[in-house]
Amino acid sequence: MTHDVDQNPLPPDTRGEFSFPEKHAFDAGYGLSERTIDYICDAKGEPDWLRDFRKEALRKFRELPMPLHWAPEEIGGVDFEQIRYYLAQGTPAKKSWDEVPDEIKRTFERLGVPEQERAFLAGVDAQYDSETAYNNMREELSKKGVIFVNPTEGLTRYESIFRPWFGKVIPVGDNKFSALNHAAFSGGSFIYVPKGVKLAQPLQAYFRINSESLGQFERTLIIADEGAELMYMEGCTAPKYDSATLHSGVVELVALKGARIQYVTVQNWATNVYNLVIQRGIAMEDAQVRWIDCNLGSGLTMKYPAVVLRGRRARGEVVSISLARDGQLQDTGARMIHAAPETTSNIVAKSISIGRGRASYRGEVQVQRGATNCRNRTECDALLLHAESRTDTYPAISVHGDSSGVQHEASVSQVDEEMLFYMQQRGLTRAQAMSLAVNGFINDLVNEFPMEYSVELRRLIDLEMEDSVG
Amino acid sequence: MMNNDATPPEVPNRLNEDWRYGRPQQFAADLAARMNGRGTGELTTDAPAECVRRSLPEGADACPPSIGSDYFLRRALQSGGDALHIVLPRGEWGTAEAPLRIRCHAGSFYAPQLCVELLPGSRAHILEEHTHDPDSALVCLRSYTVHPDAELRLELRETGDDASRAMNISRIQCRENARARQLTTCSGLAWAREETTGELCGAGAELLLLSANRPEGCQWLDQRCRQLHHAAGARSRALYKNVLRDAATCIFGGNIRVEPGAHESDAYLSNLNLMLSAEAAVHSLPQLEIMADRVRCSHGSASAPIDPEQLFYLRSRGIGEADAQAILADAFLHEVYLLFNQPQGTQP
Repeated sequence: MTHDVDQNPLPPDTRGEFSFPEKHAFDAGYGLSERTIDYICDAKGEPDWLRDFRKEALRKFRELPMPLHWAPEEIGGVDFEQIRYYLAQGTPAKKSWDEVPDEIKRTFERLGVPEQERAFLAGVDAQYDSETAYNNMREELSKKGVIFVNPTEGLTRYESIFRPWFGKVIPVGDNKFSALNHAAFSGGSFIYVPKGVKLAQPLQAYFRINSESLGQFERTLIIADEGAELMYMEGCTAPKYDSATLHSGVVELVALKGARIQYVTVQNWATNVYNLVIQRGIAMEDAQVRWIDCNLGSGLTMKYPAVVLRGRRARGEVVSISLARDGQLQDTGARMIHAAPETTSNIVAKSISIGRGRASYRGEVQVQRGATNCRNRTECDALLLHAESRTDTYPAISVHGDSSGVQHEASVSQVDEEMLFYMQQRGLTRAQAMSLAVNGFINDLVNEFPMEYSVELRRLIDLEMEDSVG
Repeated sequence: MMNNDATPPEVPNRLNEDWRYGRPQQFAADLAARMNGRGTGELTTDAPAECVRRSLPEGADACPPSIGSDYFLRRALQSGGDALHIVLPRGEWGTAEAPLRIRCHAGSFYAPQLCVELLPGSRAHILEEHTHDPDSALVCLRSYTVHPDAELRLELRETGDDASRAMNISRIQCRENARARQLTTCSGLAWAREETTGELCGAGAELLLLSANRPEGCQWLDQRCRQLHHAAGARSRALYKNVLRDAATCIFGGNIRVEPGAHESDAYLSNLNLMLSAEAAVHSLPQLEIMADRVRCSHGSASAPIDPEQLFYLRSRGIGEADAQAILADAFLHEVYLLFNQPQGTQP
């Protein structure tokens, strides 16, 4: 259960199981219709072409079926009429934490965001319900031409850079949820890193759902121009309510020739959240896109970060950790589309199922006709902690031609009783021993996360284990 | 299991995940074009007459479950093809050198049903040969039940011309301490789909599913298998290997499913493809669905060309490129035959 907070900031609370009373200047109400879109466009002051674009996306959303033929049946529980599509304070994103409304500031302070910004970030975007509350970037990066704003600002101030790629990596009609996001998107990030600029420190976005029944439809577009490099980190939390909440973001990455993008996500939504996110990157010649993904919370997560390897020698990588507890289904995975010669990709996914939790890996690797000398390696490991836990693996591998090599391996195991006995004999409780074994299982992947995230991640996993293993 | 609804099943469409990458509409049209009354064909066996009946037993065991192909199953049942029920009591039935034979020959269209039971303590080595008239279609429903402590070694050879089509919907059920191994090979057909549902219904049951193929030309080979662990303490292995030439296409869909309570299950699934042509294509879907703990389950899938170092090794000893490729392709498939022929009880 959540509790309201109105006292001084507390130490960072990564679980985020608290909420503030709602104070919104804009509330589009329940359900999605043309009126809702008009309301969002009016509130945001958007141009007519974007209003028409959103309405066309709404039409597609209504036409497209739910992907019930392959998706977990739990997705049928999403009731689009019981979702609120836009809640905002009606004030532009602030550049200083002092200007951010009090309760929002306290939320992010409690989550440790300003502290992280001071310590090691190049810039922060903090989204509260439907809109960005705070956005700031170090001045020297602005001078180098780096852009880090929300998508509304991106489409108005930087239209010539943003619009050519808007909806190009993930088209409107890609699937039902892509159409939904195109129709209702609000918040998110637009980042452009100019040619040759390499960011030494990461940029971070933090997505916070505070209000009940909210649908959060953030949209992120990151363009790394030729030879540019950046790391982007995303964190998500929400308090637990009795009604369902929907998070349906779209993330598009564009790595132009020789560019490198690393996208790190740690999602820790409450279990009433449907977390249905589409993440896809395009890697041009010699470019690299790397997704590092950790899914701990939500009731149902469906997330398959993808890389379309469109340029010669492009590289894609996905590192994924998921943990499913009672009542949770983590349906995660990765997609690698080899559309150019000499492209390489690597997928490593580890999942842990606790109690009645279910963790599934769903992936796709394609080596298309004409994409010669490509290489892919996929490894999925699952750990089952209880007799009622469940794990699944659903890969799809397509290879054309006689010059590429694709390898897939998956295994299911459990914590060895002898290992637990050994640790218990040395004074650890069974829960501590189990926690240590689980941390050992994912240790090599956790090390792939930036230091600050990997420390946090271990702590979160310990917390999850504490509640579940006794 | 076949859909028991009053509405007849429809031709699988693109939403049928069990036919992903397959061509169900085309096969349905091909079948319809060849269906002519009850169909023609022949189903014979050299099993002793006292073990053979020309009608199937009552009950679900006689009809295998399909893997997303209820439409074809129903069409086959409606066509009223021949049926053969073979019951092998305790004893030795056939050897590697002289296996017990079952022959199935398809005319323009043929949909026979075969049900074989190995009673407790029996040991059988069976060779099932499917042959085709030119431009024919076969839908064969096969059901093998291996009762406690029985042992089955089954080889299925499907051969036909490059205008023939075949579909085998099969089940192998292993009861307590039963052991079964199946090797399938398919050559010459334009299109073939092989569905095998392996069911492990008792502790100590062991199942080994093997397949070795060399599709070429424009052949389509669509293979689907399931290893269903219903009971605790059973073991299953599946190894499907293909060598692809020309514009051949292979689809493999495998699934290991460990039901709740089937603890101590041990299962492995592997699909390996050797690609010998720039036009060849492979689609591999190896799946795991694990609903019990204390299990050992894994799968692997790999598709790759011939290792250039191996090719160089042979060529540097004076072997021409084509011969060297053929030797390496033989060696690649050899593992499947080794596993099939190794003594019963050895752990692959």
